[in-house]
Amino acid sequence: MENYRIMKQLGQGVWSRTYMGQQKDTDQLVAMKKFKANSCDEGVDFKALREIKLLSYLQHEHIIRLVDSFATPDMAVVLVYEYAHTSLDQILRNRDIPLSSPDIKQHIRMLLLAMDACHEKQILHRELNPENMFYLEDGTMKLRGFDLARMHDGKPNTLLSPQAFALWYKPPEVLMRSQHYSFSADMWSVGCIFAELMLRRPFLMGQFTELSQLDKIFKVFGTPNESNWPDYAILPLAWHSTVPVPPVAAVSLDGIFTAAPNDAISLLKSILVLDPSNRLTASQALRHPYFSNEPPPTPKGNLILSSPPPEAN
Amino acid sequence: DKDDELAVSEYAADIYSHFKVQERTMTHVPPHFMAMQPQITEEMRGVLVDWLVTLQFSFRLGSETLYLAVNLTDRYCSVNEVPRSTLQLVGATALFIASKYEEVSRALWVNDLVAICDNLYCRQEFVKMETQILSALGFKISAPTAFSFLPRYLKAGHADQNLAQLAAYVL
Repeated sequence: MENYRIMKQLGQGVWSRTYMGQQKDTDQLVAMKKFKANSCDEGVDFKALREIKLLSYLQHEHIIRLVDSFATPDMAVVLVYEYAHTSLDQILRNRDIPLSSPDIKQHIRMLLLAMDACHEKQILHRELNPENMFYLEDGTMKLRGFDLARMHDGKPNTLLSPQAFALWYKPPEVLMRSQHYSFSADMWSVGCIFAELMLRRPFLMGQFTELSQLDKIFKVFGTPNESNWPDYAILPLAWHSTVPVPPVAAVSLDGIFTAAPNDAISLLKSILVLDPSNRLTASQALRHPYFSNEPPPTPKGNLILSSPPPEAN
Repeated sequence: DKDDELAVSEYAADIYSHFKVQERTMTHVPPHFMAMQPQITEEMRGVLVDWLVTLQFSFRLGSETLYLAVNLTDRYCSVNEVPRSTLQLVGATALFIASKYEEVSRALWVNDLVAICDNLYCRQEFVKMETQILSALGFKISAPTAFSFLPRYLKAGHADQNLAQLAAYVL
């Protein structure tokens, strides 16, 4: 702790607080996440150890770099990351920042690159949302939020918790309490973020409950049936009243994303698919013509990350 | 990663004698950290490791967890002088850290540690030792242990099922 100067608190979570800090000898800015000391009386938070494990294993241009980790005298664990200036959430909410289609292409491309790196190393992120996409000053997106991430061996019998994922980015199979979801679950969240970039508001905004989230999903993609999702009937919640009666038909995404180019909609349609086994993987998505078609993605150095300084009068 | 190799080469010396080619790359670090310890001996370390093995069985921990625990103990002992009375505390806490690091669902709790050490140490001592070990190792937990090399060597040696079982047993 003595090597860092804490400058201000950035945020607070259930298990941790995040601070902006500065390395004393280098003046380098860092983000510091302090796990609450002995919050569970079980010593060092195992989530901290997990995160250290995953981040040291996952070193990638688009994944946040862990700079340091240490314990404070009062036995709290602190993880130190490279400092990111803004997040996609802040960008999307700032109406002064224009978001052109080449910009969107670059944002989603960087997310897919990060996702591909995770999945290639058998890591499920499980909490993809715009708040976990951070940007360095040079425009490089850095994925964060590996608190809930875990190694996944890809074996279908591994049980996973349906508690992960933020509501609006939660895939339908997880909402229906599947415990056997896989990398395709992260891809649903990627699709939601892609849609959000184009709409500039969250795409599927359920109201507080998982049931309402499912309802939103089914209203757009139609109710699951034997043809659009052959395996849905074995999901734990399939026999409860989660599926609206009478069945609803899917609506066309072209009608929702009226301003989006055709190749973007085509990519979105191949990612946001009810049946997890039919969703594109991250590496397949990166090979989609959308990325090779004109216009090319904005060079990341040219992305606008914060609103322009007010004109001096 | 001198420290990591040190721990591995220590096992490698007697275990991988039949994989001489690969072995040579690791034995260049002479592992004599035990000599620096005034109060504990190789034999005590042996007893500790045996005990950790029995714990691995009773708590159904993965092999990776066990090897990581031994590795953490050795690395901690190579940078800190450990009194005889706390060796068991170090070993049990190392197992605790390793289980948090490797196990998918929580397998070991502080109360378990207190129980398996027969109330020799209290909860606070375990929690404190945990931070001490992690700080001493600079939170660099992950280490290639003998177990992580095993599959590679078995492959290199074109091992059959029997040899694989035997090797896992010897390890």
